[in-house]
Amino acid sequence: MYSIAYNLKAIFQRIHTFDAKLLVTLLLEVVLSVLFPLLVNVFPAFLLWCAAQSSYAQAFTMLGVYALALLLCSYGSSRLSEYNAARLIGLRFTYSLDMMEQVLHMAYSDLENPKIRDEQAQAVMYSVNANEYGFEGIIREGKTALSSLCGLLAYILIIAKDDLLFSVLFALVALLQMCMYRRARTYEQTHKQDWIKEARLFSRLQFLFTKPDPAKDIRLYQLQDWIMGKVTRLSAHCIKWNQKVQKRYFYAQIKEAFVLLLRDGIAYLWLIDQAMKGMAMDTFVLYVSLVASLSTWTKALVKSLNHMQMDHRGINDYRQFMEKYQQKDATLSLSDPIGKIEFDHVSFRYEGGDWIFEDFCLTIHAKEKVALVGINGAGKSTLMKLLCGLYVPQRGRVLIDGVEVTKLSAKQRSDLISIVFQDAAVFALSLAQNVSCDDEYEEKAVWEALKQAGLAEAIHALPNGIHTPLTNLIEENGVHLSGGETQKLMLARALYHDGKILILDEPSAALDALAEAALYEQYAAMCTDKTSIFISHRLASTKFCDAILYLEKGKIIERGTHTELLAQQGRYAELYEVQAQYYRKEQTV
Amino acid sequence: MKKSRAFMETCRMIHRVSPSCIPLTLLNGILNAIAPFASLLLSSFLLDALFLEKNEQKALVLAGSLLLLSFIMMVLLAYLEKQTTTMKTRLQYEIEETILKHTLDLRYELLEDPATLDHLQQAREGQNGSGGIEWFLHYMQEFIKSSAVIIQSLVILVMMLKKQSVVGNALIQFAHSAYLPVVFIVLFAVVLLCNIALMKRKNEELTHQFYDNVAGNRRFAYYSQICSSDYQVGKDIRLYHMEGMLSRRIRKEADQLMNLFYHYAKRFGVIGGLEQLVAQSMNLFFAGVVLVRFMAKTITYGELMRYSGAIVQLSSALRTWLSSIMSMQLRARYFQAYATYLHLPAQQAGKKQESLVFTSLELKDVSFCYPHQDQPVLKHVSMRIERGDHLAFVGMNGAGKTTLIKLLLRLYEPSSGVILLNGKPLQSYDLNAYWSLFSSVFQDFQLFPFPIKENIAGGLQVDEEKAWEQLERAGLKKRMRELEKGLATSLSKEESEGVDLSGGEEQKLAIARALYYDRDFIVLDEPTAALDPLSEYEIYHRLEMLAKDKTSIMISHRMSSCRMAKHIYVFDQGEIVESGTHAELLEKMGLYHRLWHAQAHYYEA
Repeated sequence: MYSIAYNLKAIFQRIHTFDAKLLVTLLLEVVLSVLFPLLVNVFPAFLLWCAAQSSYAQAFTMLGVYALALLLCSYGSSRLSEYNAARLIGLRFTYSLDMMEQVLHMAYSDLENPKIRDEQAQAVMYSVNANEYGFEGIIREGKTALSSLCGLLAYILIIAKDDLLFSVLFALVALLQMCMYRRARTYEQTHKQDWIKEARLFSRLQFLFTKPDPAKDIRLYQLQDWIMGKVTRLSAHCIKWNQKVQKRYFYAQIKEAFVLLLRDGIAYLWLIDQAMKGMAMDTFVLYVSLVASLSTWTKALVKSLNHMQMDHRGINDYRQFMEKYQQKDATLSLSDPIGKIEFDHVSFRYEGGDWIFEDFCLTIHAKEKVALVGINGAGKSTLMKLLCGLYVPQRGRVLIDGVEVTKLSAKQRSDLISIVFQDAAVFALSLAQNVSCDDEYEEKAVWEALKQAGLAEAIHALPNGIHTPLTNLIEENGVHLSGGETQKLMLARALYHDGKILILDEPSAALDALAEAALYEQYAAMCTDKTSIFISHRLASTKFCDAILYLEKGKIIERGTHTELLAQQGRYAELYEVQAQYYRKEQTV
Repeated sequence: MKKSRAFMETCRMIHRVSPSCIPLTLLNGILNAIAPFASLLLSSFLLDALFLEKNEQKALVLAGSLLLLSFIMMVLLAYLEKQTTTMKTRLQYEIEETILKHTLDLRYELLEDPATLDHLQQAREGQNGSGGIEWFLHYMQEFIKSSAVIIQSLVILVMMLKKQSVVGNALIQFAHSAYLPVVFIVLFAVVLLCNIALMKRKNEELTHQFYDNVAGNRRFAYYSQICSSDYQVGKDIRLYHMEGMLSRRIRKEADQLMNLFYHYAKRFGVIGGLEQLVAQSMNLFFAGVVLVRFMAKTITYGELMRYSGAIVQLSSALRTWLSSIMSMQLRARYFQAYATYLHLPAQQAGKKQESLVFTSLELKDVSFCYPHQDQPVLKHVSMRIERGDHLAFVGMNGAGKTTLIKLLLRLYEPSSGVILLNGKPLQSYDLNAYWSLFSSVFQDFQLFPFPIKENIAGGLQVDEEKAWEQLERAGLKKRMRELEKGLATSLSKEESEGVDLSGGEEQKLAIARALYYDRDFIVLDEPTAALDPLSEYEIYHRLEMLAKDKTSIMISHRMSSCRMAKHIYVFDQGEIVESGTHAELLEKMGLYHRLWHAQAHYYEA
């Protein structure tokens, strides 16, 4: 995909806009990180050199200069490294936020797709999720690589001054070391797939089982052994792979030790020879310490370069994801919506699945009250998701007032369609904000919506009323609403938004009989002036709809009023009878 | 002494899980310290042999042994590194497993208590933020290594500080006097105290940083969770155009977090800088002494190299020593949270399976209040259930029906009153034996991301024929037949090869599980809430047949399901207000009548 040079350049550009000073401080840090160890390494040789001066005063002056340089270096190093480390984290954050922004705007059907979620997890894992990898990692390691390279070059040049051949030999050995280390790293990379899935599943299970939700079933059905068995198998797998990888590194290090033995052997032979031929002691000491630190520099350089490769891959995964799932901005809006719905030869299926709808056509006129019924899996919820633009049909169009839903702006869609799905989404915001789905809200309208949804009384009872924080995920004293109250809250949300199209998908599943009845009473009031679609298994509630649509296998097979359909004696009538029989007086089950 | 206690607890926990971990770490640390020291020693001898004695033979031998030593050390250290790394990974997993196992065995009421999950959350946050147990061990190794280096260096330097009588000026005299060790000790103490003071300061700053923005951290964590892969709330975010709001909020939190971070980074930078200054000053003082001695020719080249090496090592080891102590303490604090969690009481369940037979279950004046709440959810409930009874609990939301079920199933203990099984209080029975009397389907039942057949059987041992039988009874046979891998298909919504069942299908599967377990007592809490009329009818019809020889309790808002019950109990605000058969209750014209007609009147002709 993108080359490492391209990625680095892009990061530098961002650093420039993020904090212009940062590029300078990073460079300074590199310089100091070469200078500082150099100063420390030459300390013994330097002392010797000082001692060779003619007077104590001169010796101590030189020591004084050295001391100053050392103190400045060390203080500066510390300040710079903290500054840079903190700002690099800030830099990483900007990329992290971009990713979150992307996910927020991603198509819902993509978000729901487990393969794409996997991709996203992969995209963030080695790019923005940790200090050591990705955007932050590549700069950190880049620093180390640069300083190691400079250090290495400096030392080789110092040696080259006296003996070119020797320095060439050293450079070659350094290269050899690099290749060996690289091979071990490649092994880890290529085999990552063998254990990454298990590692992810392990952490998902960790997360799942330390929540209270599965606790009842686990105890009552005594599932502990089964679950622990699974978990142990997963961790054993990951541990085994970790061992394999470590073994490879160990072998690589043995090979490296051999190479070093060889290199240092040659070095010492040469040095001793030179010493006997009259090389000065301080030079000898200098060379000895250089030879020792050469290893350190080479190892650091190799490690950094390899790390940068990995970071680079992580960054490319990130970029790939960001580009692949770019959302095109839809911008259309309706000037005076009336809420006419049209499915125009719509065909839809989930990825890799069978066609749920094929050439599906349906028109719902403005202000019609429609009930959508059918057995589980008929596609009712899917149809609604197509209607509000969460899904995009593979063929055909979904139109509202003649305009394709997917072309309407997000704001227009949310103003136009108010929908309550079966699964509730309660946010860790105040109750009022949960209703308005925004920071701002109109208090009167919130209360009105709560009243219509049948929740007003319960909220009046709360000490903070509509400002009560919901869930205890952020506020410790946040309130947890019951199942029924939550369903009413979802209804209040839809009513607050007052869209021209109101869709209720099983709004009374968690309500008791009285609350359910109250809901149906209100229903007519809720739907005034709106187009409404009511999905429910409680066929009693469909009586007050203008039309009942029976959906089966992706087709509307019956359409009419309650009375008409009963007279038809078709599927609807059958379904109705099955439910009604329990409520009839003479019933003997 | 809380810090040292946390530290000991952590060590104990590590040792319990993986006994060879700590000894290996110790060995690794010591060897890491000795290796450079040995090299330093040898090379200083080499220096003397070359320039003092001019003995090439000896020099070559020394060089050879130096190289051999380095090689052996390198290989040995690499091996230890391998061992410790694999050990640490294993440790990490085993600790997580221990936590998980404990969670599965915890007393149920603790899991619904947010304080419990808080402990776990704290420990996890600490782990993610500053590394897990492998970092604790890393710092322990650093501590051991730096301790060894400090000792080595001090030993070397002590030799240098030997008093020697020598002629020369005042400076030379001072560098050889008996006062030198005293000066050295004083300087060392001063440096040590300075470092400790700086470290304490750093600690304070870290604590401030942590507590300065706890709420902000939580908010940020919440928003990032919503904005990443939690697709459950994704629908509403899109439908109600909440993207803008969430984006604004998360950026605001991020900004706040980062500004705080920069603020503290600056302070840490200054502290770190001061630490460096203190360390280098000490080095330079010793450098001065060594220089004088060398110029006075009272020490050799080799000794010079040794001493200068030791000086440099001493100051950096001192800093590492102190910072590793602090880092270990910090991590030990996080593990305190884990340790506390592991000390939470588990259910007292024996492994012995006494086979119990259910004859009667009686509640005598049972009242119950959830922990941390003042309003009782159940008040003075009394009832008797005989073998073969079919009961229904009805009432409005929040009336206490599900809570009563939880008490019957011994997930909670009543606050007052007593529950008797076969005449004896529930506590006198082994918990596992008691639980094996019941099959249940809760409103919030859970299925797990493993093969379907294992979900049905609740384990790896599956009687496939029996499983298919229950699937048929639950009305799922046809759907299961459609699956390519059949019952071996995983239920994982995350795994791409797994299957995503609809809400209704999941409910049927949960029912199939309850049927597979084939227990005497069936408890159903809203078993058909997500089902369409046909499936609902199927299930009721079948459940009726299946439960015929069993005892059953059903909670349902579908009043129609009550017709099959022998006894119906009507709950209102935690009390039983009416009870009887369907016909009896209708006649009473009370709450039941109202509930019934609220639903039934739609079906009247």
